[in-house]
Amino acid sequence: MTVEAKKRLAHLFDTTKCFGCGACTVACTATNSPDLMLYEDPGWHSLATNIRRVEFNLRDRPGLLLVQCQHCESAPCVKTCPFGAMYNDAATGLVKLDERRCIGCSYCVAACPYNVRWKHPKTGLPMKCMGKGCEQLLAVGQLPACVQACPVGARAFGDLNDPGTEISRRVRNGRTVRLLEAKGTKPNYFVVV
Amino acid sequence: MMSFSDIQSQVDVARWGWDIAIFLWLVGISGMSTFAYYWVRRAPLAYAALITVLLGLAVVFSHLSRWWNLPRAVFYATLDFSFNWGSWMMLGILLLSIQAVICLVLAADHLRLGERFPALLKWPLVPTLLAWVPRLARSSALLVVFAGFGLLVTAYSGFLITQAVGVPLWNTALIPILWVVSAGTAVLALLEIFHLKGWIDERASHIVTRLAVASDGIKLAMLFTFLYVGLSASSAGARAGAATLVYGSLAPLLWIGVVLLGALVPVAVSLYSLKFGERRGLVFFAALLALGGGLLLRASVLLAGKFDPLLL
Repeated sequence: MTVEAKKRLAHLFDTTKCFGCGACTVACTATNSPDLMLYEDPGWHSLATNIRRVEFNLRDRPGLLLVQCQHCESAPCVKTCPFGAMYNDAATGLVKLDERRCIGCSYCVAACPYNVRWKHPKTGLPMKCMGKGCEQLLAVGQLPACVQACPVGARAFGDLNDPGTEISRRVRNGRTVRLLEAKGTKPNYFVVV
Repeated sequence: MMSFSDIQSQVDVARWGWDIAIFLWLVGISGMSTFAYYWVRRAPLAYAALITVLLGLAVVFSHLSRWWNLPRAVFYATLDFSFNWGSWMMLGILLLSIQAVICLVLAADHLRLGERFPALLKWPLVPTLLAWVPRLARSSALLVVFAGFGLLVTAYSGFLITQAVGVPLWNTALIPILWVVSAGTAVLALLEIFHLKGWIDERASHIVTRLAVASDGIKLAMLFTFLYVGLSASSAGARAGAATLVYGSLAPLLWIGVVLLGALVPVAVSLYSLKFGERRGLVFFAALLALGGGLLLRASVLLAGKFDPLLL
């Protein structure tokens, strides 16, 4: 179900600036899952973070892509969740999880074409961006942890409905793509290429 | 260049592996047993339908990583009626609950609970409920409805995975049909076992044997179509999944488990039995293989599920 949000909060990741230091991924775990700083997720074989690291070679050039929840306007996880635990927040446009309604069926994990969810080893929750820690940061007017931690400004976050925000400017002026658009998910995650 | 082995398998992340395969297999057997019950109204079939649906529910319940939260989730969803009827998971909960009740009615009719356990009749409402059982279980019109519902439950077990758009190999309408055909084959194998036990007659057994050959043939044709569609798909995830099945790490499971042991050997035994007469031990063994083939088919399709790679 597509929801018309008052705000349209979105992430931007600039592949031309990122040099793969990993500060954003560590900041994500430290902020959202501090109890799992020493835990390796068995699925991704990496730190239990909401940001997945995708390395690839394209025409003999190494590439790095950091992906996280795309906060899709037409999110497959929202469509498949049986009890409405996944929902599009009408105020922000973010895709959120209501823990009270989650039974841990993993349907949202299999339904997400971006493979950006992981299961919390203790709560069984399907974790994703944005975590509780970052939601608290937003509530007090700060940026998400990954954006704050990036040393080269490869990340931006903000309201796309406001043309004055940094993310709006960078989406307008940069060469951006959205991932797997053909899936019809209408993602709110922009990648500068 | 990214190779297929770099593409992540869903089982690493979503963990839809053998337990979900067992669930889909059991639910398929229950559904198709209810379907077959319209023609073969025997107690063992009713009991098999009930036992498999209950076991299937138990398996899927144990797979939930937050099973303890189910009552709370139902409570909150009821408060604002936010059940997601567009989700096959939600529809499945509804369908399987109804399927369990249908199977209970069919089994209760054979069990004759009132006669066996007279003490039950002293409980409130029980006499009324038991009086309704034969009326429901022997109504020809309702048995048609139950048969259709069994078919729907089996198809649901396929639609459940087709809706997981993260795994492109599964996003094909072939899966629900393949599941129905393969569950039908498994129930025919079950009927063969019932015949060996003397629970269904010789004439029915001959029909079952012929149907099983045809059903296995259709199943193999559908399986090869599924693999061909996967190998030639535009999605890299679907191609990688199909390649894993056809010549990758899951090839032994597919070719030896599903195709050879799960289909070709039972077909050969059926043809032998039709031409030269039945050898009980061989038929029993082949029926077990055909039953197991349904499980291996589901497991191989689930385990082959991969996400699409993210490339710029």
